[in-house]
Amino acid sequence: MSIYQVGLLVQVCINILLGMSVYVALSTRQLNLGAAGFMAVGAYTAALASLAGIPISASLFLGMLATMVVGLLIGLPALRVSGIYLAMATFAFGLVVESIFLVLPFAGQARGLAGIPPVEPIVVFAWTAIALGGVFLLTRSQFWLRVRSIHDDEFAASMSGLNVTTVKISMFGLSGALAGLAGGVYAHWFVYVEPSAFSVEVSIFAALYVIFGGSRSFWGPVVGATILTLLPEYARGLDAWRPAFIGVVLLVMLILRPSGLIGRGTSLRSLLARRVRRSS
Amino acid sequence: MMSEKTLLQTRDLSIQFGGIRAVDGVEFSVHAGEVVGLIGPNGAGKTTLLNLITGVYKPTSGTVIFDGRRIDGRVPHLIARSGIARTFQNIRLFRSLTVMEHVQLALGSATGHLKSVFQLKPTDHARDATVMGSVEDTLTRFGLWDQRTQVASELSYGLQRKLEIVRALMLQPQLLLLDEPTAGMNEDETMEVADLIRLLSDLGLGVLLIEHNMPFVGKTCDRVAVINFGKQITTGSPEEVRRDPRVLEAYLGDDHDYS
Amino acid sequence: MLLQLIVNGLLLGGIYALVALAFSLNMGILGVLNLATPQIFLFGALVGLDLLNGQVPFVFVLLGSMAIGGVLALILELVGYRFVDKSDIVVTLLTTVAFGLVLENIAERVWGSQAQFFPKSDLASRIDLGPVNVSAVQLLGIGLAIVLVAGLAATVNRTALGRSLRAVAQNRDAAVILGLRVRRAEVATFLISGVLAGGAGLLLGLNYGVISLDFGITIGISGIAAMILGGVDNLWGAVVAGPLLGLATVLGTSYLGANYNNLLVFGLLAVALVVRPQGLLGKTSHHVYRRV
Repeated sequence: MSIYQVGLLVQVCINILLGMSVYVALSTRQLNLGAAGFMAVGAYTAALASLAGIPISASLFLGMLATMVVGLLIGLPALRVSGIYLAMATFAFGLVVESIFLVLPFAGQARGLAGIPPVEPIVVFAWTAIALGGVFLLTRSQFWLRVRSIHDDEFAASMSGLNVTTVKISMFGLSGALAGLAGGVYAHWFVYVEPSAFSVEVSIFAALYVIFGGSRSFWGPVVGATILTLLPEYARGLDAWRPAFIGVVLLVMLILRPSGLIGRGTSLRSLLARRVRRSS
Repeated sequence: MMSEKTLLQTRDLSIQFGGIRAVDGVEFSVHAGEVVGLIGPNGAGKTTLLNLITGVYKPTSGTVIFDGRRIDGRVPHLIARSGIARTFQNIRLFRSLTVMEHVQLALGSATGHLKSVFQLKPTDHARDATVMGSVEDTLTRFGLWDQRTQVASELSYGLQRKLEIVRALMLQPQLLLLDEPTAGMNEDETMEVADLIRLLSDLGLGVLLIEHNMPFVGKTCDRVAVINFGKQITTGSPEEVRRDPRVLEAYLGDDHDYS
Repeated sequence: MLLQLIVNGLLLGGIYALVALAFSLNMGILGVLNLATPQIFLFGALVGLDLLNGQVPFVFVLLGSMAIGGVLALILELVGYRFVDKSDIVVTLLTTVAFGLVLENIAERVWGSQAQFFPKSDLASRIDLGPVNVSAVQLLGIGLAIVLVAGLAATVNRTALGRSLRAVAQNRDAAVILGLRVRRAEVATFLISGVLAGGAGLLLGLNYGVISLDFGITIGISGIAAMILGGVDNLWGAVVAGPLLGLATVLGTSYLGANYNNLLVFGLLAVALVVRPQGLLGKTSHHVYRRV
């Protein structure tokens, strides 16, 4: 496998994690448009830790931890707002984070941080697999039943004895942690971080992966991020028209199948069975 | 069978929204094993009363006492866990959850989140004990056992209403609050629900029932409280209430046959 | 010096008010945050720039920018918004995002990705008014803002179209059932907001003298901030919040530097959304239309 292809796979991993971050929050009807902000926190925390001599995996973990804490902190006031206002608030949060890193002296400000210790691809894949595995198991647990019930009817869920508040806040924390891991991986793969890398576009695309791939299934963000990352690479002909191409594809998807590619409750087995059937 | 134990007691319960007293000085009680009907014209404040009892609203004055303790103003999900369960006027099921998943959710509601993360579903709850026997018994009685893997949105209307009751029962309540449980049901379904409610009261549950179907009220209720404009008009047996001129006046000329 | 800054800020805010209105119309009436609006600004500015370079009289340049804005918004409505599930905020939001992606790509291909400079124009030159000076562009901005809001308020309150706009804002389904011309209201909303955005893009471009590809996003964020501060569904709120935000931006940038200023503005915005989402002028002031 060429270094280019490996790099592409790493990018896929980063995007899957970002998509998963939006997915877990969206599962409780909280649209998190600040993924870039969380990603930045994770990236800078991990980078600073590594630059201080901490081993990469430990730095990645620290990045996740820091971002999870931020997520939990944001999650509390987030409860007061819903729908589009929450989306805008998280959007504003992303902007706030970007501005903070532009002024923080020890984070290199506009110049960013360079010389971050590089990470082996296998470490990236391992961490991604662990994180995704964890989320996967979560979606197969009793806890996820609570998440789904809150998604369907928050009021009824509360009247059925569920502490909706703690579920929603913890999903925000998880959302943060996943985006934070994506940030840590980004920092150690590209060995350089600067505030402009964590722009509005990153947050928007994170939401895109979920909506495109399927917002009601674990495999949705996985498939969505994979396709939207790889497809433009393989459609080299329209390199210059990549954003427009993604825009059109997305538009068609939103009109024809707004729930995304992967429907609710699709298991891996049925997904693979479908693939096999089509190719034979 | 009605026992002496008072499950629920409201004292001078009131709530004010802006300038309007939606509930005004309401006082009544529900005993274990008793079915109390709550009737009155639309907009009289009956559902608001349920919301006050279940903690959705905090009263502006008065108290709600359940099982000897004040619960007014407490958080809804804690009230739900402490023995009061309810259904809703407009069906509020979890559209994408199956019948069994509704059961699982309610049964497990007291489990801490962290523990629930490590509980991988599906676990078989069919044998779990409820007030009506096992889960399987309960679902069968309500006609939902064969549909246990069906998603709530695919159920017929009557079964959806029944599932709401089942979900409430799975919280193992002492007091059941039913908000128009037979609305939109046909004659047979209504009678089934009436039998089920009498069965539940025989098993010792207290039931507070909002209904507009007067024959149904007459058949199931031990006592009836009449509410209009947030105020309590009268309380008594179905017979007494039926003959009370103030009640007829409240309904403004509707002549409901209680028989 | 301070006085000049204050004047600059308030007048800049006039243009921000136009931007806020563009967003506010979509948010207030349709409940959709139209994230293609930044790209519509961009087109308004770029097309206006081309027209100015072609020696077209300013009046027609302005009309041209507004027209292109209206047309683009119209296309968005007819090709995208019309077909999607309007009850899902994520879907409507991403529909506008998708359209914005296409527009941005087109802009990049047609005009290139380097910064574009506006020709020296009389409009940008300063007029002395005692201790301060202003430019015609700034005055035009605030003038337009006031005129347009007054016009919009009149439309919404006194015309049949306005009635259907208010009905759709409160309850779209009910409006459909009542036989109101909901489609016409939706198309009109997009059209008007597009016209506003196109015009605002030109004016801001003239004000700064230069536009780059991310010009739209920067303005867009300020516009959204002004919209939120003034109250998302409040027309007059945008008119008040715009100048306030303009003032804060100019003073902040002057005394704190651009980065700290951004931090302050975005931070305030985030806090405002959580603490008082209905904005400064929330439910208390003129309620032209209300979104349930």
